[in-house]
Parts: sequence; structure tokens; C-alpha cells
Amino acid sequence: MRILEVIAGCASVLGLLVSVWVLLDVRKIKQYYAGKIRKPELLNRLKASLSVLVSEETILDDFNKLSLELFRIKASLKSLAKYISKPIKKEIDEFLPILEVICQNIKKVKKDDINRVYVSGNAILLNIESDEEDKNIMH
Amino acid sequence: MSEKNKGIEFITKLIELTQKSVIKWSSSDPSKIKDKNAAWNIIGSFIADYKSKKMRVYSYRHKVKIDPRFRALNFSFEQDDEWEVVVESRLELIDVHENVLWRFSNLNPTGDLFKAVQKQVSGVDNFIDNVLSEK
Repeated sequence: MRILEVIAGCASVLGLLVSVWVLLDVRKIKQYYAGKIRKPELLNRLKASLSVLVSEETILDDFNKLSLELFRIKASLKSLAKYISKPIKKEIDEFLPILEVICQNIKKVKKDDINRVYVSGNAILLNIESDEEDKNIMH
Repeated sequence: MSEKNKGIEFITKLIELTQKSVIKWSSSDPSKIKDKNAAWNIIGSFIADYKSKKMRVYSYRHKVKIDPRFRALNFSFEQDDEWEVVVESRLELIDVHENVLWRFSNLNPTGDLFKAVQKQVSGVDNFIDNVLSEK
């Protein structure tokens, strides 16, 4: 009787562990496919906002437009952070506070600051795209 | 600074110099592009001389196969779409005969450089100003 109780206890613990494992795996799969759809969309949004920073020469005179584009860049990067590998996420985490400072001092922003955002944003974009290519090769 | 960041910074500088008209671009003959796939699907090709180097920037369309595993998940594709058309831009250093000496790696800012060059060569800004100042 005692032995049966022990076996039943072990079986329920094992069942619980398997359920947790399946749950985590399903979450991972769900996130993988969500990323496959969302990532290209977010990357395109990021590309478009970064392009506006350099293509519109008068952007420095239009604080509202500049704030809007910087906000869009920030939002795209934050959303992308959910679907990317840790080293690139770290890069984003380092870049976001810089972007925040620029947003807070929008009226003092110079062309060099905008160029820095453009270069850093594109470097992150490039790393995400390279990472994605590597993953596709592995799959 | 990594090599990639240096490349992005270099193209960003070229965009700035193009917008300030420090670098003056002109249209070039796309048939001189040796990559025939690019030459046949060309959107535009421009050349410029700067610091005793000749540069060429061009954009072209090409097809990329859609991964069937994700086609069904992406609503922007039709279910029977097999290919997606993408635009790619290239920046090259060329010799006097327009042979490629060096092709810069494919970076997103190259597309922005191409747009800045197109804007400069077309003179669209002046044209808009002229039309708007017409009484």
C-alpha cells in the first residue's frame, strides 16, 4: 500500500513537470511564430522611421515630427526586443536610454545627434537581420 | 567601431554630403552594370566623382522566394504567391570604364542614399519651389 502511495506521488510530480515543460514549449513555439510574423513588420516600421531622420532635411525644424519619429523608433525597438536574441536585446537596452535623453532634449538636438540615432538604429537593424539569416540557415 | 558601423557611418556621411550638394551625382547608363540581373531590373543608376574616386549607386528589383512555412501565417501574401519582389540598392567604387572595383556590403542606408541621390539629380525640390512661387 505504502509503495503504491509513493509511486502515485512520483507519478503526479512527474505529470506536473511534464505539463510545465509542455506549457513552456508551447509558449516558445507560439512566440517563435508570432515573431516570424511581427518581426518583418516591425523591422519595416523601424527602417521607415530611420529613413525619415535622414531623408527629410528640415526635420530638425519640426520638433513634433522629430519627436514622433523618435517615439516610433523607440516603440519598434521595444517591441522587437521580445523576439530577438539576448546580445541584440542588450544592444537595444543600451541604446534606449540614449534615445530617451534625446527625446527629452528635443529642442537642443543637433544634426550629429540625429545621425548618431540613425547609425545606431541601423546597426541594430543589421544585427537583427544577420541573426535572422543565421537562424534560417540553421532551420 | 565595428566594420559594419563604420560602413553605416560612411553611407550616412555620403547622404549628408549629397544633401548639401558637396557631392554632385549624375545619371549613368544602366547597361554598363555588369550584373545583368540587376541591369535588366534597374530602377535608376547614378555616378559621382568624389575625392578622386568614382562612385556608382543603383537600385534594382529582384524576386525572393517566400518561405512556404510562413506564407500561410502572413496575411500580406496571397496563398499562391511564391515570390516576393524586393528592392535592393548597391554602392560601388568603379573605374573610368565603369568596371566595379569595390562593392560595399548591402546595408539599409544604401537605399536612403539612393533616394537622396534621386532627389538631387531630379531637382524636385527646386521644381516644387518654382511651381509654388509662380503667380
